[in-house]
Parts: sequence; C-alpha cells; structure tokens
Amino acid sequence: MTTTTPEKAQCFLAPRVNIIEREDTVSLEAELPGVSKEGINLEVKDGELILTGKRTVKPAEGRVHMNERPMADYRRVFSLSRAIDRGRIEAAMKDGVLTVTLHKVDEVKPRRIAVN
Amino acid sequence: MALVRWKDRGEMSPWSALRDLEGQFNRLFGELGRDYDVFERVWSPAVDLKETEQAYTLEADLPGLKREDIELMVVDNMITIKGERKQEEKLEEKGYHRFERRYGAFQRSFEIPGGFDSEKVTAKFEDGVLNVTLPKREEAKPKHIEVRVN
Repeated sequence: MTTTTPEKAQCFLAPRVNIIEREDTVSLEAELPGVSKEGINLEVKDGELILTGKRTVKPAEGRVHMNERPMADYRRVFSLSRAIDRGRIEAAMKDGVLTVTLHKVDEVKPRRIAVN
Repeated sequence: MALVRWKDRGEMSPWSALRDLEGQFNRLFGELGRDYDVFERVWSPAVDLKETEQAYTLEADLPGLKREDIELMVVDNMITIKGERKQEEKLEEKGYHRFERRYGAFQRSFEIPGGFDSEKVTAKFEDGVLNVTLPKREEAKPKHIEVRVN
C-alpha cells in the first residue's frame, strides 16, 4: 500500500498513520484529533482508499495567545494493492484515532497444506 | 518548571540538527523503505490558548491517549499537562509499512498571564482533544461600573 498526494483544490492536513501488515489483514491507524465518528468519510474508488475527516471547528472568540493546532480538515489517499479485499473493510474510531482493518483476499493468505 | 515551545519534529533535543538531516534523508529515500528513525522520537502536542472575559481555554491535540494517561497540575499561574501515548502492541519491524505515529511521554507547561482560579479548573477529553477551562479570578474579570449622573 502506498500513499499519494491529495488533490490541490482545498488545503488539507495529512494525518499521521501507521500501516501494519499482519497475516490476514492490514491495519491502518490514522491520528485525527478533533474529528468525531460522524466526521469520518472512507471511500474506495478506482483502487484507492480515500480518507477524509472533518475537524469540529469552534468559532474563534476572545483573544488568542497561542495557536498551534491547524484547523484544516484531514485527507489522505492510499492506493490499495490487489491483495486487499475491497468488500471487507472495517473501521473504528476511538480517542481521535481511526483504525481501518483491511482484509486480504483469500488467495494471498498463508495457507497450511496438509500432507497426506 | 520549563516552558516548552511546540515544535513538530521534536526539535527540543541537542540532536535537532541531526534529526533535520535524518528527515531530509527519509524524504529522499522514503519511497525505498520505511521511515526509519535513528533516535528516539520526542513529541509534544499542539496547543491553542485563548482568553475570554471569563476564562482561559487550553486545547491540546492528544489523539490515541486515554483519559487516564493524561495528568494536569496547577501551581501558581502555571498549568502543566503531562501524558504518555502507549503503544498497544509491538510487532516485529517487517510488519510496518508506515510508522509515523509518535509514542512515549511528553510534558508541557503554560504560564497564564493573569492567573486563574485553581479551584475551578475543569477539563474534558473528547475525540482525542483535551479541553481545559481555567476561570479567571474574580478580581481579574472586567467590571462594569455604573456612572451616575446627579
């Protein structure tokens, strides 16, 4: 799985991710602070997994002393290899981290062959 | 207590120059392999500090931390946030295709210009964002004084 640059139309933040391959699955963990479960959008299109996250932005009020948190929405596009089953993608959101579980197609999973 | 400025690549250590160089190499060769990091990564959360007439609000991005992994301390006009992002499982290196998330402990302190009422500080943690409200002391709040005309 490789990453590609998002389109230039709007300014997005690329979330930090870990991509971990296991025997039967590939896990994608993305840090999306300030994004609720409802703000997440995952889309599979033309062999790519498109992740967008809407940050809950509160209108700025009062005086700003420090402003380090970027207020843009998140977006990152991942290209899916043929080993990923497009129909079996699960996602869960917890404490600002999205975990996407991508299942491998059966053909690429390690198999034990019994010796008769 | 030290006031620590936020830097995205953990440039608080004397290794910062080397770390920069390492970053450049990672960018150059990033597609050839995984993003290796020679040194232990230091991280520090991004923070917003705002002030209204009634209170100060401090917001910190802490994705992947649990409520119980966050500690808040107040002394005089200073508030300190401490925390640790714990790695749930450590796989052998070949399992990682990308490893961009940072783990470990951090600590940041902030001096609140006009002080605050330490008894009334409240905090909540939602969607990986810590939100701390530090109400001002009564005497620090703006007062409206009525002007009487005889």
